[in-house]
Amino acid sequence: MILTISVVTLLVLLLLRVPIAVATGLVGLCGLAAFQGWPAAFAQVGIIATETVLTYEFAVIPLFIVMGAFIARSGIAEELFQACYAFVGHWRGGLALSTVAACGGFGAVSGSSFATAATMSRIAYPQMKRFGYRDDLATGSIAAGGTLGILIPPSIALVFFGIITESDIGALFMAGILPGILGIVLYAAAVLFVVARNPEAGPAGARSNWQQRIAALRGIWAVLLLFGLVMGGIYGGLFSPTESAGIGAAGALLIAVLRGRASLEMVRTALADGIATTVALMAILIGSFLFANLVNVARLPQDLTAAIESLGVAPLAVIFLIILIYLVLGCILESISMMLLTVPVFYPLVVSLGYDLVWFGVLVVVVVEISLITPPVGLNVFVLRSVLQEVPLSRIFRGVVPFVVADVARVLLVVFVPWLSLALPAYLK
Amino acid sequence: MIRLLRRLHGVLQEALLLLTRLALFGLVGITAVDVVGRVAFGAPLGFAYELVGVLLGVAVYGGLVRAAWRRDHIRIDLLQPWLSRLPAFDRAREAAVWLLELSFFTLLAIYIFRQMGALMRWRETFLFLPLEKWLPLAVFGGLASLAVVATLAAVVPGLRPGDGERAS
Amino acid sequence: ESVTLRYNQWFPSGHWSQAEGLYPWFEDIARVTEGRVTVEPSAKPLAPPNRNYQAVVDGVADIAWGPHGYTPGVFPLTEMVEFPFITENAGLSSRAYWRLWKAHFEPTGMQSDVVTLGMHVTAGGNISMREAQVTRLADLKGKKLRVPTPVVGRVLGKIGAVPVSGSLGELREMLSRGIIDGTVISDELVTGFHVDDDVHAVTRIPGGIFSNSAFIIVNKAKWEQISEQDREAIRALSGERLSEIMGRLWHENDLKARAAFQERLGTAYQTASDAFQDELRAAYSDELEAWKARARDAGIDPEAALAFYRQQIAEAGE
Ligand code: NA
Ligand code: NA
Repeated sequence: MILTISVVTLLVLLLLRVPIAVATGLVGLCGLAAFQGWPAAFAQVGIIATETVLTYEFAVIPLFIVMGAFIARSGIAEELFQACYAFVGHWRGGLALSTVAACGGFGAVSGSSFATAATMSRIAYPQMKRFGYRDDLATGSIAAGGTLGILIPPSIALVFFGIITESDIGALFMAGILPGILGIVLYAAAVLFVVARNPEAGPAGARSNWQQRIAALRGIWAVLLLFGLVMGGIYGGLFSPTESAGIGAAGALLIAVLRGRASLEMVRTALADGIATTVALMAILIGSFLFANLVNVARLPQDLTAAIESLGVAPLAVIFLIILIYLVLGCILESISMMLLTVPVFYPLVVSLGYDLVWFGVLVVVVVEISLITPPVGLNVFVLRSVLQEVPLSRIFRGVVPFVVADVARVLLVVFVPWLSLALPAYLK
Repeated sequence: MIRLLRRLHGVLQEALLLLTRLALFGLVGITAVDVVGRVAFGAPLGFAYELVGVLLGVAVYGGLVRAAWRRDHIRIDLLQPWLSRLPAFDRAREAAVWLLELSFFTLLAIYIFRQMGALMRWRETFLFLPLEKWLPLAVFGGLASLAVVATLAAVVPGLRPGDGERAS
Repeated sequence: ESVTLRYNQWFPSGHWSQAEGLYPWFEDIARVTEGRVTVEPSAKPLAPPNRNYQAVVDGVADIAWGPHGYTPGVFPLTEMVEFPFITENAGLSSRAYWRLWKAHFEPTGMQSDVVTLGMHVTAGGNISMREAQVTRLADLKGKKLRVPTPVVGRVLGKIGAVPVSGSLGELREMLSRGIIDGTVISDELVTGFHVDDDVHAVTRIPGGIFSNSAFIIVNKAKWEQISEQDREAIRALSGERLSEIMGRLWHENDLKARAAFQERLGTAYQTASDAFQDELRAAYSDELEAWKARARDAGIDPEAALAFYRQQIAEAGE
């Protein structure tokens, strides 16, 4: 009863534009007070507000964000885009394909996906406008492409999943690679489908010769170097996945220096970007932990598991029910708070059904990715909208439809082909 | 009076921005020095884990001051188009939302200080960092208190973001 | 009328310390109170591991089990039972520890803001390495070792090893990827946390290179809600009995893990030579003196407490 009232209150507050951190925090506090009394509830505010920031593992959030900010300002995104463009730019839809591929490459060196959408909209959108792309394909491919980085390691979302479920973050990173590449392939298919049906949506660009192509490839050494440093360092036993965030950020800065892109001003701006995003996410983390403690004290995870067991529902049906819940929640919540609120509830259930946690981690992140581009709350779409003020929100949302279809196909593949997620971690064990 | 406050506010924001940037840069530096020290020289910092936590707290609560003043929090804009069609309701809603923000940050500040008191009484220290644990909590609490003040300043004419020359 | 106690489940619920130690005790509590008092483990932690004690003081959780060492500085007295060479049999040591608690520690006012139902030690730790065997102090030079307590960390650091901090949850990743060369850890934890595949040489320290002190505590206000008759029944199940059960579980599982290790590693599972033990003892002597000073500040006679503890262990062993 208390929990039901709390959830309804939370939804109302969220819809009234109370900040997510404040709404989850206050509702969590009041709900906890109803169960445990005010002194215990207030004590949890003190514990959560201090221990959350003092926890080493959560430092990956600012570190991965700073890494993305340094990379975004070192010109790597432009060069990735140019390299892809040199090869497929003369195809129909080639610019949108280049956008998707460049987003995937950027995701491999950035731990946070917010930087990707913002950066690519500045780089790819003007090019697509120049060649007469329709707005929905142009913005749709950028908004969707921006989500690719959330699964391709390094990834804040996978680190979060690892911390919540106490599973191997290194294995989660490896598990994200193939489904991440699959995402690029399916998005490319979505682009080709759109231009096949409507050639005017994405006209062909200029053809590059082989000399230009090879020259353009030179720009991607930095991406390979940084990705190799982070993943190689984790697997070579040089540092832990949580430490890799710090190494990645330092490496990104070093690459900016080597490329002559670093300046005091660049570092100041990147750090300021990093702080703003960090504060927003950490505040949500603190609020969500209070609400998650309410869910915990209300014994929802146990009750849910017991209910599923007593109903005798088939395990696969439970998985699809969970996917459905994420898709619905994804319409109203943003991705990080959604994971914080739901994963602690679902993962004991999924384990009790005999599923692999690493596989479930990949599945959750793939489903959560969809929430970044579905209306009405799609953070990537909002990021895009704030950069491209002239494109109406409704057109961006219309543009992402083919990509959402591609995402749904990927969810099904991840569910029915566990090999996609589990082959690489097993191979590298 | 308001001019003096605004001046003070501008200086404070600059100082906090510098502090949080240093904390964030420190996070990167400490992790890199720790890992390189361990891998290349067999000499890690030891206390790196705990120092990273302290710096994260400084970055978060220092950054919260600016975010609170600009009321720059992640919100859900789903009903925004409908809400703006009901100006009277929207004004009341806006005031209530501000009050909730103020309450939440006030509670954060109060209970960070209470936590600080508890750790001080128990004389809890860090495991490796040669520091009593209440000390960084005092800093977090102080910064969280500034975030409360900033939430108040966010609605005072002349101090609001956008009012006056130092609204960067 | 009926009281439900929320247990802070921060340790894996399948671990034998929970499944075979605390859960049967929870069931006993429900049985002897005829269901008037029940204990409900939480689905996930109500508070982080280092806040176990505070969680019970503030009523966030009603009942908790956890190591004293997670809050450095708060419980200076308990470091006594964590010193090396003293925990041969965690069951017997835990029985002695409960008596030490009643006779020496509790009178100082320690843990006076909660109700203490158990005080026990865990099995003594050994030196577990990924590769090279450690047979003398000099072998530890330059080796990266995960350390669980500040005391071990300081001693190892002094003799030239590289102490690395890190949670138990990170241990597997640190060991399997070679971020650390080894760790000081009890055999049962190596098998309990499934990291034995990455350990290829163990040097057993008789009596342990360290041990952990742990509490089992209940929130005071919740305790007052229970009738005196039921409290008496719970007390009869707890204290020395509960402490010994927990310690004995540690000892039994340590023996099992040791046997498995010995079979698998063969000669790579060694007991430290007397010379190595003397080296270690010398390395620890400063720390022991420093502890005695802290213990005097906390209001006990350290020599008397040590003598009492040794004598109780010896008596229990007969
Ligand atoms: Na990524
Ligand atoms: Na959405």
